[in-house]
Amino acid sequence: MKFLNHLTLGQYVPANSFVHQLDPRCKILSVIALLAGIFLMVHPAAFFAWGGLLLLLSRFSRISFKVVLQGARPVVLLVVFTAGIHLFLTKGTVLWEWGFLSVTREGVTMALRMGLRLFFLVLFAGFLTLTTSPMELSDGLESLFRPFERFGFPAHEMAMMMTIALRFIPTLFDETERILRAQIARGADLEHGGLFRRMKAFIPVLVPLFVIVFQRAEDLALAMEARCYRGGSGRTRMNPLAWKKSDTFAIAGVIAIVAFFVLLDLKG
Amino acid sequence: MEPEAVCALRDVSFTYPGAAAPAIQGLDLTIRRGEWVALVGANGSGKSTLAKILNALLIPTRGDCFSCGYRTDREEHHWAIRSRISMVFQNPDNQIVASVVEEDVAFGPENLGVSPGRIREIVRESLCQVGLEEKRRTPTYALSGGQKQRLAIAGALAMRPECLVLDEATAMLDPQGREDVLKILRELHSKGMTLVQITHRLEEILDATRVVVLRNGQIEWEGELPELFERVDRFPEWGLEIPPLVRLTGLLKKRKVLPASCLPSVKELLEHLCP
Repeated sequence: MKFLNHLTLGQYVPANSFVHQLDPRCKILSVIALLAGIFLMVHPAAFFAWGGLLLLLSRFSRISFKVVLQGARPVVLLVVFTAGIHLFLTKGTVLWEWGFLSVTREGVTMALRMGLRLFFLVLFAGFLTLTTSPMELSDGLESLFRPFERFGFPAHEMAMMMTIALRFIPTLFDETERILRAQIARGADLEHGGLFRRMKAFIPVLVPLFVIVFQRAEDLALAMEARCYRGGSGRTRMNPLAWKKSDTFAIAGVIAIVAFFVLLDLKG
Repeated sequence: MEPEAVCALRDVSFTYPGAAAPAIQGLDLTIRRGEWVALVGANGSGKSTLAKILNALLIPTRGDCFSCGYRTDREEHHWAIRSRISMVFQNPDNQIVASVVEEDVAFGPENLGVSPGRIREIVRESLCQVGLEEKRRTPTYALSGGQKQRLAIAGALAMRPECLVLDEATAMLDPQGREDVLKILRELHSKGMTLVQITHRLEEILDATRVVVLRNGQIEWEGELPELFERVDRFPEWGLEIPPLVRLTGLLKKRKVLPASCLPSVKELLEHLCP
């Protein structure tokens, strides 16, 4: 049972880099712009640009590209599934046919486009969590959501919930791994049999995991209360957010890249 | 409440909702400034419940509890109490809020509304106190169990408390991790910090100035450590395990190799056996 190893989903990798030092609001807004760009554009050159941008980000953030790619491992199945659906269900010029299944020229293009879109989406979103600590991310989100507080939106609570969720991802993976090993040691067979049988075999893993999650949540709430946590009011920050010139340049650069490809699309 | 008392409990009882029997029953206890009080007892004796009562995380169902001069049954006092009495729990993983060491230590002072510059100072000092200053930017998931518990202690110290309550804080640690935590406690106590240590490992309370034995939510015995080890015959009844050194000392005393007044310390034992 090695499938939980090397997961970087939601993990923060501290480093003293240009990307790490950017304001979390700048990084969140840049990722939103990039995600919009990824979904809006169809020009093939755009995908090379996204790939190039990822390599540049990896260099500027001092995080190896291998670590960045590991972040996409949990969604590989989803990417393959999405690409498969588009490959077989898109109508157009038939290239290959077998029974009710057919692959069309348009289907191949669509499968590649959707698969790559999803893949880049995960990698860019992963970059945000790799280079921004959950606490910074939470502060950034809270600051961006603050205008909506006047409409009753719980900005601080949402941001804190996200911080804790990200903080507990590695812990819960460890916990799942431990339960898996314990159940396998007691004779559970999680790797053989059909899909239904394997899903059923996971029940003894999920039940203790849920119990542990609730227990941990209760303990954490108590520990937070003991450390005087009472919501966002009156709370200060060790590192208050400060928008710098480098943030303006970074977001302007991202918007320029996205705008360039939108224009390229409109012309093409 | 005595002027030197950090915590004072008067006829305190606590029953968990839906429970048939009270977890704490008619308890009277005073913890004075600068004391190192060890609360010992079997599982279910009420040690952890008592710790939570001291920190106003649980409110007595009967009786009065004063922590740092504040009544714990008044909600408006809870913030003041928790900023003066810090707690460290058993499982460090369940009390670490942030993903980076320094951010977690800063969580408490941030809640107290301390200024950013002062928070940075406090974080640096607290991490130095527990020997984690070099792990400042390390992700919390990358720490060992012992380091995580030291981080939890740093988080508690960052509140600048008068009293530190440790609820079985060494239970999940390896011997080295336990020794590291105990070393920190010794240092804190030497600087005047009031400590309330909950444990069932008697070898960990050798530095305690007072021991309170709890049984079925009541104080069964209270006194100094050497007196406790004179009552080893009652340990099974109290659910306590006799430490190997105390067992050996007892046997040597019976055979008159050691005088009856000898304290169970390795140093004394050596002095008597190898003069």
